Formats: sequence, C-alpha cells, structure tokens
Amino acid sequence: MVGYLAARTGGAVVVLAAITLFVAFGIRLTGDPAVALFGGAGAPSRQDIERIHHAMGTDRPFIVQYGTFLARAVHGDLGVSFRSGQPVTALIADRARATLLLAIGGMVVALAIAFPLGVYAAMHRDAVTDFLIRVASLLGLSFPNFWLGIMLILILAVRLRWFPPSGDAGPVSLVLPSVTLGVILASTLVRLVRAALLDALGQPYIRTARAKGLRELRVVVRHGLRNALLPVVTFVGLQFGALLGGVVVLENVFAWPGLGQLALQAVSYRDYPVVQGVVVVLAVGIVLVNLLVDLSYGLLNPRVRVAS
Amino acid sequence: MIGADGPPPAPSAARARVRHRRTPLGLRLTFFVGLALVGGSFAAALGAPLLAPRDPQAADLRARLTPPAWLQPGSPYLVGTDAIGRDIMSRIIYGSRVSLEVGLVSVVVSGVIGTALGLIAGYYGGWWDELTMRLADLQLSLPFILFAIVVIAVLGPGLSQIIFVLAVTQWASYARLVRSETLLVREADYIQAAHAVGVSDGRIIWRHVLPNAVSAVSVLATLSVANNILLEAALTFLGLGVDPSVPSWGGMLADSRNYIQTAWWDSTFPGLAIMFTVMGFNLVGDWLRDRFSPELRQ
Repeated sequence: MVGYLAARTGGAVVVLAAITLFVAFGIRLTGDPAVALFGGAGAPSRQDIERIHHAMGTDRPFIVQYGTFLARAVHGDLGVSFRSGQPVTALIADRARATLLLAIGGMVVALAIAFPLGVYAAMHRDAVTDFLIRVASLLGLSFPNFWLGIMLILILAVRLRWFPPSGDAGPVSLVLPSVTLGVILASTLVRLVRAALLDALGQPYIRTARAKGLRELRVVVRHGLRNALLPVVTFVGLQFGALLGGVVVLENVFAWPGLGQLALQAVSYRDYPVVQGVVVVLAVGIVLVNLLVDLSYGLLNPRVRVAS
Repeated sequence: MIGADGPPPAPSAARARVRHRRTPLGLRLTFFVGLALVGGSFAAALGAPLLAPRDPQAADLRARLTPPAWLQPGSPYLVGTDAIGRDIMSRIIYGSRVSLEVGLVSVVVSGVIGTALGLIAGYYGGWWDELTMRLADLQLSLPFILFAIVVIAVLGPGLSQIIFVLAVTQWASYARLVRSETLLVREADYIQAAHAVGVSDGRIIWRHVLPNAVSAVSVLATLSVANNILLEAALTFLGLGVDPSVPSWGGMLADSRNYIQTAWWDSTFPGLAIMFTVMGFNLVGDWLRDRFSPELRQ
C-alpha cells in the first residue's frame, strides 16, 4: 500500500511539474505584458518598457522566473497580478468560490437526474425503457452545453422571467447554469448507473438477498446500488477535468464570475502570474481528485492495486 | 467489466464470429436516422454553393434581425437574418464546412498518430512502450480547456490551430486503445507462426495486428468526430476558435448573444445545426460500438 501511494503521488507531482512548466513557458510566448499594460494608450518608450519589465521581473531568464514561481508557489504565494497589483491568491480565492459552487450545483443536478433514472432503467429492462434511456442520453451528449444554456436563458429568463439571465444575483442565479451543466453530465451518468447496477444485480449475493424474501426495491438499493457506487464514484471523479471545461464555457454564457472568466481575461492581458496561478490551482484540484479516486479504488478493491 | 449487458463477451470469441443476437429494431432505426443526419451535413458542406439560397456573407442592413419566414409572410429569409442582415440559413449551410473539417481532420490526424504509436508500443514493448504510455498518461491528465486556452493564446485563433489542439490532446486515447488490442493478439498462434516463417515485423503489424484494432479504432473515431465538433463550437464561441469572418456555428452563436432578448431565431438555429450533426455521428458511433466492439461500452 505504501509503495502504491508513493507511486501514485510521484506520478501526480510529475504531472503538476509538466503542467506548470508548459503553462509558464507557453504564456510567455503570447506577447509582452508591458505592452499589453498600455493597451493602445499611446506608444510607451523603450525605457518605460524596460522599467516595467524590471519591476515585473520579466527581464530575467525564463528558468529563473519559473524557479522563483515554483519556490514561492510551494509556500502558497502565487505572486502579484501585473494588471491590478493584487495578490493572485486573493484574486483566485474570490473566484474559486463561484466556480466551486457552479461545479457542485451541476454535480447535484446530475446525480439527482441520473440515479433515479438509472435505477429505474436497470429495474425495467424492457426494450422500450432501454431504448428511451439510450436515446435520451444520446440526445444529451449531442447538445453543445453553452447552447443549452442559451436556450434556457431564452425560455426561462427572457420569456418567462423566472430566473435572472446572467450574473451573480444570489442563489437563484445558480439555478440555470447548474441545470445546464447537470443535464449534460447526467446523460453519461445515467448509462453508467444503469450498467453498474445491472452488473451488481448479476452477482450471487443478490440472489441470496432475494431468496431471503427481501422486497425488490430493498434488494436493488441496499445490495445492488451500494456495490454499483464504486464505478460511478470513479467516473464522477475522473470527469472533474471535463466538468471544468464545461464550467469555463458556461461561466462565459452566464457571466458567472468564476475562475474560467478570470483565466480568459488574464490571458488576453498577458497577466502571467494570474494565468499561472489559475492553472496551478485548477491542475492541483484535478490531480488531487484523480489521486483520491485512484486511492479509494485501490483501498476498496484490492484487485486494482499497482502490481509493483 | 462493467457496461455490457448479460454475459461479458470474450474479446476474441466475440470478434471471431458474427454475433447471433439481432440488432434490436429501435437501434437499427436510430442508425438510419444517424446516417441520414451525417449524410445531410456532408451534403450541406459539399454542396453549399448550390444549396445556400444566398451569399452567407452578404449583409443587408435594411433586413437586420428579420424573423423566420413563417412569422413574417413574404420574407425571403427562411429562418431569418442576423444582426447585420445576413441570411442565417445560408450561414448554417456554409458553417457545416468548418465543423466537418475540424471534426474529421482532427480525428484522422490524432487517430493515425495514436494508432501508430499504440501499435509500436504494444508490439515491441520495452522502454518505448513505457515512454509512450507515460506520455499518454500525462496528456490525458492535462485538462483540455487549459491546454486549449494556452495554445490558442500562443498560436492565435484559427482553423488549423484548433485542429492542432484537438489532435495533440487526443492521440493518447487511440494509443492506449490500440496498445491494449495489440497486447491481446501479440502472443497469438498466428502471429507466432508468421514470425516462424520469417515475415518481417512491419508486415506482421500491418497485415495481422492492425486489422484486429480497426473496429475499435473506428468506433472511437466516430464518437470523437461528434465530440470534436462540440469542442470546436465551444472554443469558437469563446473567441478561441476559427476566424470570425468565416461562417461557423460556434461563431454564429457567439454573435447572437447580444440579441437574445429580441431575436430568438438568431441563437436557436445554429445550435440546432450543431445538435443534429453531432447526434448523427453519435448515433452512428453508438451503433458501430454495439455491433463491433461491445467491450468499449460504458
């Protein structure tokens, strides 16, 4: 177990190092932050540019900049925004709340749709139900998530005026983006819940439970669903990265003040510290979730442990 | 394995003979619907100059935001016009070109690279295998959206940049899949026999190993076309995709956002076009998966 833990953690560190190196290098190819700072307001002189570069530290060799960034990041210091002068950690903390809320909201909606439907489909294995679930989930996978968001805004916010169309005006603002995110996620999840449950229901202990005379619903939920949870949890964890992609686009649609919006703006301003900071925080989040999923899987199911 | 209903298929046995279970009627029906949708989008892309009622770029400011023809009798614009009076129908027809080009080219590029790397890794094993698989792990753990934002920021938005981003991020799925298919047959008797009679490695891989992976790869590729069309639309919508001067579905949706209060048709029809096209590829891919690679089902 210790070896497994070490191998997985080591892998996670390599991934993080690769991601930060890639982003730190890539963002420095996008353009001059000093020029971006002037934003077309008159041509800055050479001295101005050099002075700014010196103040930002961008006149030093890349390897030094990256090293400094890493050394500080380890201590929880992600530097200062080139544009606003605020600490990056403060900027991120502010936005991370919004992104996290949206991600959790989407996940809750997805689970609320996928579990009842998946269980129902597994219990009623007839052609019609199977077919309907299949078509519905295919339909969900074919929706561009941002377009679904636009359609919901169009119908529920513009026409019916039930919800605010965009921005963050309290908890009601969370409904439309969460539903958008959740519906898309649920379409994959329904199939998975159904398949995992069918798999679990085929096991001998289910026959035993039935033989004991338990009610069918109890058999399915207590004995079947419980054991079907593992693959579902894994999937949900591994979807975290994809979920994030959806969140970035939906934040844009709903003008939701989250990390995705922050990153997109920072890229256009060539605000290196902010871009690096957002990427590091997101990457750590994803790697951590994946690691936890892997570890829980290894703990719960000894067959999956790394052989070495 | 989870996912397959009933008894889990033994990979080789399922492949060796045609399965007796007949495809359910519903599934066959959805396959034909999918084929029709895919065919329709190809027809639109190839025949755009013939099919489009007018020039997709011609703006008519007097006809700004004209509603669809059934709401405005006598209007020549079937599904209305956009904010500068361009015909939405024609733009949707031309827009299919961007979606299909990105979807198909990115899949072919990543599929060919991934398949080649997977074959070599699986067949020879050793340090090359180790290296390829670690790189694949790394690639798969890099969140697509972060990668895309940084790469587009460096290279600038554009059609070939999008294709590049998609191809680079997806080779790993093919490499993993093909490697595992290769490992399944590497020790098979017929491969050993081919070795024994002195057939070269290259020929063995090409003639005896690759054909075993083709069905699984084609399933993954079909479903990836659908997914890549969605990703392209999303990136273009964010302003990270194709040039705004080229009609594209994601771009049309981005343009339509300012008029969502007044012109519902502007944001509705391009989205429907994306949905039907993507659904077509998904339906065909789903059928292929059921038919040829039940082990890929999830």
